[in-house]
Amino acid sequence: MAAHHTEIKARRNRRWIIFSLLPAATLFIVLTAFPVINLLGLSFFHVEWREGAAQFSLVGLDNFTRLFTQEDIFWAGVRNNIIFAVVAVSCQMVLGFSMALAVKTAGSRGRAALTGIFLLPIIVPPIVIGTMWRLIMGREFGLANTVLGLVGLGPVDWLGNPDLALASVIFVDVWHWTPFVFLLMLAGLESLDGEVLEAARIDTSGRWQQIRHVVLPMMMPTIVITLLFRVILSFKVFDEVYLLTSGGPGTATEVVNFSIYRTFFRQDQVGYGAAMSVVTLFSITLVIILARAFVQRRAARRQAAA
Amino acid sequence: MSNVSLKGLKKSYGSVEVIPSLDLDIRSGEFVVLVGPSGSGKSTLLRMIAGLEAVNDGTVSVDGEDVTERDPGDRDMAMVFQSYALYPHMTVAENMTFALRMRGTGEATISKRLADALRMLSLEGLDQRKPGQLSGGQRQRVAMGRAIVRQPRVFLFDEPLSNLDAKLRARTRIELRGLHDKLGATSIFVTHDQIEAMTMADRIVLLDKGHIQQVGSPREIYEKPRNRFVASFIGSPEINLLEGDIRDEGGTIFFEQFALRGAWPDIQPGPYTLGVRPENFDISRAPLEGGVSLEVGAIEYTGSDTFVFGSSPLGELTVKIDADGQDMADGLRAGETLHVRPAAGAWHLFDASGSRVPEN
Amino acid sequence: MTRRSLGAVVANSIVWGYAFLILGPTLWVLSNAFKYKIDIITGATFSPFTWINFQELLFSRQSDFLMNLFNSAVIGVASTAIVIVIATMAAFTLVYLEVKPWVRWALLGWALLFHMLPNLTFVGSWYLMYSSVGLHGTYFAVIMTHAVQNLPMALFLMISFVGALPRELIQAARMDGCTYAQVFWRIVFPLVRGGMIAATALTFIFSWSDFAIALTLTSRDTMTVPVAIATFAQEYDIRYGEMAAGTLLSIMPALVLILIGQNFIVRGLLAGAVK
Repeated sequence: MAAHHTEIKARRNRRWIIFSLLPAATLFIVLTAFPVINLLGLSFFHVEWREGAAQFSLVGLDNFTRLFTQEDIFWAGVRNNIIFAVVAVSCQMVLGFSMALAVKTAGSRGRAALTGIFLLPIIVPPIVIGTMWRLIMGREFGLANTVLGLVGLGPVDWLGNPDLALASVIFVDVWHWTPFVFLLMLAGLESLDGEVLEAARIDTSGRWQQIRHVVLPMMMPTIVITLLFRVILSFKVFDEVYLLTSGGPGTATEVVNFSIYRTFFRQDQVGYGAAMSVVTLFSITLVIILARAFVQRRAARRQAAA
Repeated sequence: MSNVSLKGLKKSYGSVEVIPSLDLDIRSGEFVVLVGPSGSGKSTLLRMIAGLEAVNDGTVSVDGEDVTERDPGDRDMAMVFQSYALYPHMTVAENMTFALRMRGTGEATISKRLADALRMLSLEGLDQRKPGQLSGGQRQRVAMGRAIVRQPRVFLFDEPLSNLDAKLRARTRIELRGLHDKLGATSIFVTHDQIEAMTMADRIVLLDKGHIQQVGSPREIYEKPRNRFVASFIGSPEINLLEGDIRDEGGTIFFEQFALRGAWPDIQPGPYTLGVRPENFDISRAPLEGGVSLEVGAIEYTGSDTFVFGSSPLGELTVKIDADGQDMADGLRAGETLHVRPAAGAWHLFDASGSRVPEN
Repeated sequence: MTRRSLGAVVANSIVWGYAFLILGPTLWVLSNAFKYKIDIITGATFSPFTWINFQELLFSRQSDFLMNLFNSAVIGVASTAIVIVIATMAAFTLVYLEVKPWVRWALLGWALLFHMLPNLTFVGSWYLMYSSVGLHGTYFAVIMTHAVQNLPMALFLMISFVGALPRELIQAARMDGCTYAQVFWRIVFPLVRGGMIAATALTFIFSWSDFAIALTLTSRDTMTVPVAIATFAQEYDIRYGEMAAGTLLSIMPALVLILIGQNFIVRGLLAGAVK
């Protein structure tokens, strides 16, 4: 009887494994893997809309040739994205880490209230952040210019001046994501071995030496991973740019995501947009794979050294 | 009551062989302890018997019935885990009767068995508590209760005492062995603690790197260790293992300066290892014939005995001065010299490969 | 003053300074929700209090905002429910059961990759796919897309919560006769409820906050709050008061969560971030 029972159970168990993984796998295949293939296919076509129906004509590599030889706006976006990644993420890391260190070593009052406030930018809809800063940085009656006016400066056209617009957008992104880095760093600092830190207090002279020779090396894995993570995720930026500047003035705040969106949805150039998507997808995938390999090599080296 | 038989059992994770190939017969009603250092494969072996780890090759049978491919829940075995693994969201009663309910046992039987088990384990009145509200010792008893109510053919224990403090552990050892005898069950008990193994087992199975080093009663294992590993694993403080040469001087067999009387008349001269347990020394302040000097390094007084750690011309030695010799132990200081000699008949000789050289 | 307390003062002022930088602008913008248009434009700091913006936003005939709120709620609740169930089941199987290595590797690797890729590279394809089967603009399209979008994060969260259960608990249940499904429903499910709440909160927030997918896949009837707010901001004559009122309403779920489940969110954010 038990043997028979076992067979039923074995069958049910096999069924469970399939049943539990199938929905996730199906979602991924239908809505992520298939679109990638779809985009790849589309990128070789020119698509025109005639009376609501799509007309496909195979154009080979034309879309890619155009992208690499005649395109300006997309590449301006790439440049801005890279500036964005370097500047915004560096600011977030330095600010976030310093604040975490300050809170960790000196302690802070009202920790719960502080965490609550810092969570706000992270979980509020990004579009709201765009709206808010658009109002604040507005030329006429924005808060920023009102405050500047009090000390007799301004008004400054934060979002309309091509020399300032990118800096303004980067500022908003730093404002948005520094709290996240701060929380991650604080959690990292708090998970450090307290006894090691105690020992470091005795072995080093001065706060700075302790940070430089003990805290920083111990935090390195967290810092590196957060940094790479933020750099890669910074390429997702879209919502704020959409609202703040729509990429303008000119190409001053153009980002890759916005180029893709415009090409697909405002210019109806499906084939060309697909080619942009494909190039973006594969470049970022390459960066992710390289970053992972880098992290794993580092981890392996640390392990070998230990 | 059931016997358990393991034949050619193999387990590997990828290219790492945890258990190369293992045979073992466990008799009905026996209390068998699997003991060994960490990484010896004892826990893996227990989980293979339970069905929680897949078997790469070989068979597990209970009462001659092959259960190798059977679901862990259908083997009629119960297991007590190291962490107790009580379901935190269920009360004591629910924890203990969960398996019976899963089997569709009748309500009357369930409540009778529950009541019996609660009484047997002195858990009456705690049945509606959650595990989080119990002390460590109570949790341990609930874990045993969960196994007992099932009245299984085989009990499996995975270091169930290692989370108890020393005093409670000693008491629970006796209780657990008592329960085993009362229930007349077959028990397989895994531990890394040699005291548990020695005090509870009918038979000890000593494992190292997935190989059985020796199977035998505690006494056999202690008195006739089959190899150097067994000799040094069992016994605390550890056995003294001395490296040296055997030579034949006019019919008398010598291991360095110790004359081996009688035991090994036909032995070949050459390099050997001599094992002498700390309690098997003749000790004196005056030089002993055929003995060695021992410069006292450290002295440990445990109440009933005194252990002396020191260096001799043959290497570091640990010797025990028992209650009879306390006068000698009393005045002893580090740096002084004692004279020691292995007592006759309590010698273990191992050849170059580490195997025991049998006495004639 | 000793060095240590001086350090504490400096640290506190830096951190609280940043907190002010978050709170100040936010409150300033939100305060517009309770002002008359004329006061907003003239930048009056102290001005009469009014509910007029909320009335206009929610009950005027030209405004769809009430419907937008409803749409966001429907999409958020449905996609979150789907994601959490799927992610919890898959997490249990991936953590505790014997799954072929390539299956595990493919699922988790793809989840990680997809999580990091900009979803703007996908929206064009989603738009075409849904349009070609006549699903563009439906709840179904947005719900399923939000589900897949949030699945990686929910999966990683649930793997970390499910993985924190002691393995022996699962083994004990197997010894007690449970099948895998029974282990899941009777042991794992009741014990990871805390983790599921954290994952549910975050998933809902991300669905509620999404802009890019809703922008491209919704129609007028299924439009969500963020898209509506963006539309406000792009009108020629911006209705600042109503926009601020909409903004305030749109951050209510986030505010509620911060007030009642701060620790849950922090735990979830941290667990989801360091993978």
